[in-house]
Amino acid sequence: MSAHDFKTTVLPALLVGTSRQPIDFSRLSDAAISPADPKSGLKALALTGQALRFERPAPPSDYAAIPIRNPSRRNVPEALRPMLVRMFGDGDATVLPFFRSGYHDSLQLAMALAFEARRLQPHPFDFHLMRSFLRAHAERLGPAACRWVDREKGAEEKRGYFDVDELNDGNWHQTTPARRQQYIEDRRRQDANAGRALVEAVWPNEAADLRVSLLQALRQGLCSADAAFLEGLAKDRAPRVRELAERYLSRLPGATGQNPALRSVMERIVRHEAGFIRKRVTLKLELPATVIGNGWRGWVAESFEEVEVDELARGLGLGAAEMIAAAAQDRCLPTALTIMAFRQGNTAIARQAYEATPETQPRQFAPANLINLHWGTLVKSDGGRGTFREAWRVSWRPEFSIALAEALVFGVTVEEAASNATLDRAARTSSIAELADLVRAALVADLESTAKATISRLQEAAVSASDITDLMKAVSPLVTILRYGTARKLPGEALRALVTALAVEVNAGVRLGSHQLDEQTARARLAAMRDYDEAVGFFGDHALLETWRRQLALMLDDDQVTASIAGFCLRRLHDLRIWDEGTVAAAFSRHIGGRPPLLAGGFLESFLSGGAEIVLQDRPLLHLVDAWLCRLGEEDFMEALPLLRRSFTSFDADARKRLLAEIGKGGRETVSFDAMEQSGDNLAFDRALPLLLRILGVGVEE
Amino acid sequence: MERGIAGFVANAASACRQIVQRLVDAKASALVTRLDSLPSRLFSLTEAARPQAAVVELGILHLIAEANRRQDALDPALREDVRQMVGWTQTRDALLGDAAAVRSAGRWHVIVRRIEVQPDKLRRLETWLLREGEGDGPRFALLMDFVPLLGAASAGLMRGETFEAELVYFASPVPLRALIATQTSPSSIAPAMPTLPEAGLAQAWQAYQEALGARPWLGDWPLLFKRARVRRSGEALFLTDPADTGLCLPIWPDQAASVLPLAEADVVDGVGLWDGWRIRLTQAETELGRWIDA
Repeated sequence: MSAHDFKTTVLPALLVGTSRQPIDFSRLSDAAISPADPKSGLKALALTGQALRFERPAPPSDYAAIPIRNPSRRNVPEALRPMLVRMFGDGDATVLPFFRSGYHDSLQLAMALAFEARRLQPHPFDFHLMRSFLRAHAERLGPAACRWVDREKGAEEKRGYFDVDELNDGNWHQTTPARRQQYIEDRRRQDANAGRALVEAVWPNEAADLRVSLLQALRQGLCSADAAFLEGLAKDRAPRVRELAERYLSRLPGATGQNPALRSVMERIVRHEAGFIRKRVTLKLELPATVIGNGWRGWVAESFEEVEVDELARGLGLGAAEMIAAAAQDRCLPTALTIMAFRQGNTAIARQAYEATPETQPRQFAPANLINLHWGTLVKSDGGRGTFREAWRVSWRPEFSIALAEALVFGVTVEEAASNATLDRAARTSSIAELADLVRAALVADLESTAKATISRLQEAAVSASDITDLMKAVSPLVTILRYGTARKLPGEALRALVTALAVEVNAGVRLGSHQLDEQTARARLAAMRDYDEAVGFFGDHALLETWRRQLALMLDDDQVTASIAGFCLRRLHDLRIWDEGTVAAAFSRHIGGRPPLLAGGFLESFLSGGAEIVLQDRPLLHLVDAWLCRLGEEDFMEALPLLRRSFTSFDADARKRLLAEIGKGGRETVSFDAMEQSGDNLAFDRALPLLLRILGVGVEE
Repeated sequence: MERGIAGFVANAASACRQIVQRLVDAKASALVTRLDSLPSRLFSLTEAARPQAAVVELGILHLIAEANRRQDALDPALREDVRQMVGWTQTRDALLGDAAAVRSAGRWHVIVRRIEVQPDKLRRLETWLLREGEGDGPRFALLMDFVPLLGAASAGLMRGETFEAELVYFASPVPLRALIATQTSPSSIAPAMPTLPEAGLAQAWQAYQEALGARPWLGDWPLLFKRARVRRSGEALFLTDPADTGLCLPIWPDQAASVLPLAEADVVDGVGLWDGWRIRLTQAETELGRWIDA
């Protein structure tokens, strides 16, 4: 047995499933694993896994040539690197304790300015250790830092920078955005009109981000002479530019316009008056329909960024404190007010608004749980990681005394009354779901004899049950309990008898019960069939399994059976290799050709279900669909396109690409692993093999 | 296996949950942690690699289960190791008092400090140590601590620290997990990486294969290498050995941005942790300077 044997003989069978492609143990060189061994598959799995671990990773087809750049700046001296990382690194322990946030920001800025002045940059090996420092000051830290910060941006967002030592009116627009903004601000201080003229000259060629920063620079020395330029921005492509220009216009002497940001938030704040004796004002913020989940925080931060607290209070006709009180019942407004106040440095108002946010108030627990009349409720979602631990929520209410008195009719102890009441309910219902619940409740309550009696009742009801989906759904959890067990003592024999009874009824009724189902019922049936199919396989009753598989074939031949269910049946017959490839291909063509698109689509969708990975690994299946597609004429192909789109929607983009690549390779013959290139034996695996075989007991009489 | 391990990957979380519950009942805590984190380990890989990774992971689980059943057929060190893999624990005092336990003394450097949150709501603190110079006993050690998720994490040792100590190892054919038996010097910040042995990446890979051969369920393994190169192919980075062109280890994708500058170096000497699929570089020395993982 060599690593190559396991990779070429066992691995493909493991990936597509041993029912589809049984492991050919005779092809393992010395046939040490006997196919008769019940654990032969698991042993092959373990050895194949180890063989893969000894393999070297596959190299890429080629490597990129890395250009060595000639940096325009020098790296900081090696000795200073650790100190710089400690001061400006991202880790918790790196920030010096006496630098509180505000001071730390100033220190970062001072350091970035020093780097710029001395034409230095942090060492590129340290960029990833000081991400926040780089993001905040990349433009002052040099072109390498800018490239690093921009590395995940699209090509159109990336900008080429070069460093110039002395800026003037001729070269100012060739440097980094921050330096350009700074230059314009300086020029506006010296000569407002000259500064604006420089901006106007480069304006049409700049990207939106840069236009915003240049416009921000014009805030310095804003005057009536800027009005014409600002009015011209009313049709700018970027909304942020338009809004900023409008805001500047509203600030010019003699302007009559209102802050557009204020106007837009005012449109979304609804004002109500409540209270009988004393009217109270309440405010509610109506979010746009596109803002969902926690996305409101970002929307609020952006929308209220340019609004001042006093400005908003005036607009609402309230004082600041009144406004906060009126907003307290709203989910978002207190947060908005907090953000606004913080930005303006008004900590008193910010604190008031923060204390009004719903997150800081005591939680009002919904009383829904308390109206349940059950004394104890099993909290499933918090039931611990094993099955020993169960979490119960217990709550006593006075009316339970009355319920207890009423239950006396069933018995004088809680146990007796519970048992008799369960039996009474079981006798009066024929619903499979309700009876299954009663069985579960009796098992949880440790009423073994009641559980057995309820199981018998469930078996009786199953005979006359008409809803096959319900019956199928009842089987899967019971098989899981029988397979894995639970910490509770369970009547195993009674449960096995119940599973058998339910499965017999399912097998007997599934074909007729699958005729002409509507889409919703068919969807529920398919989900139940998948679980049931797996459960019957695990249950280990060969007679039941055989009957079930026979039913799959019969359903495929029955024209009245719903198309999606027929698709599932064919897929299982293919997976289990019950039908050969030719028979599967014929049945596939029969069900998909000449049918109305809706039926053919349903068939194809359930036939291809189970994830892209299986379709990729199961080449006969993939090539079956490919062959069918290639046979279609142009007209039929165009008609089939929507079906295909629907069937492949559940595969993600990457899987679809891989499928295309696989199909694109052409060749529909089954790959012969004999023909695969021998990769050579792995000597390290060969040395490890004796220990593995000893662990697995291969070659040892058990 | 009947339905195909390729299909198992998509349902790994639900498939593992039930078995995990029963393993919790059986108090097989180490197996529980391994199985509970299996789906997330699979999903951290590329989609194409997941089916093979599932074969490897499920195969290891079967090996551990079989080794646990056949303890009598195993060497003492492997027997003790598999008991730890299942969930049997050895107390600190018992290990320190075990005269037969493997020990290794010298100056230790903290090369990696890693914190992982386990599905059982415990925080696992891993401190990987490398002993300076050649000498007797294992060269690597892994200190592991477990603290509640909500509690404060102990400060412990920091990456880059160095100290003199004697370590005692838990029994294993490949001793790695250890405790500090005696610390003979206070810890201080190391001015440079410890001197690495004169061995390339190919030799490090060979050492990994030997360790894997002795301990089939080997987890993360430290690789020490000299004269390696970082190379790029598309968005992916690889650690290669110029002396053995067939060997190229994929570098963790989340390190792409931080490791990329190393591609400009002609030669990289360093340390990384290999998890069977990808290597996580932790420290490196190059002609351009020293590189440290975030």
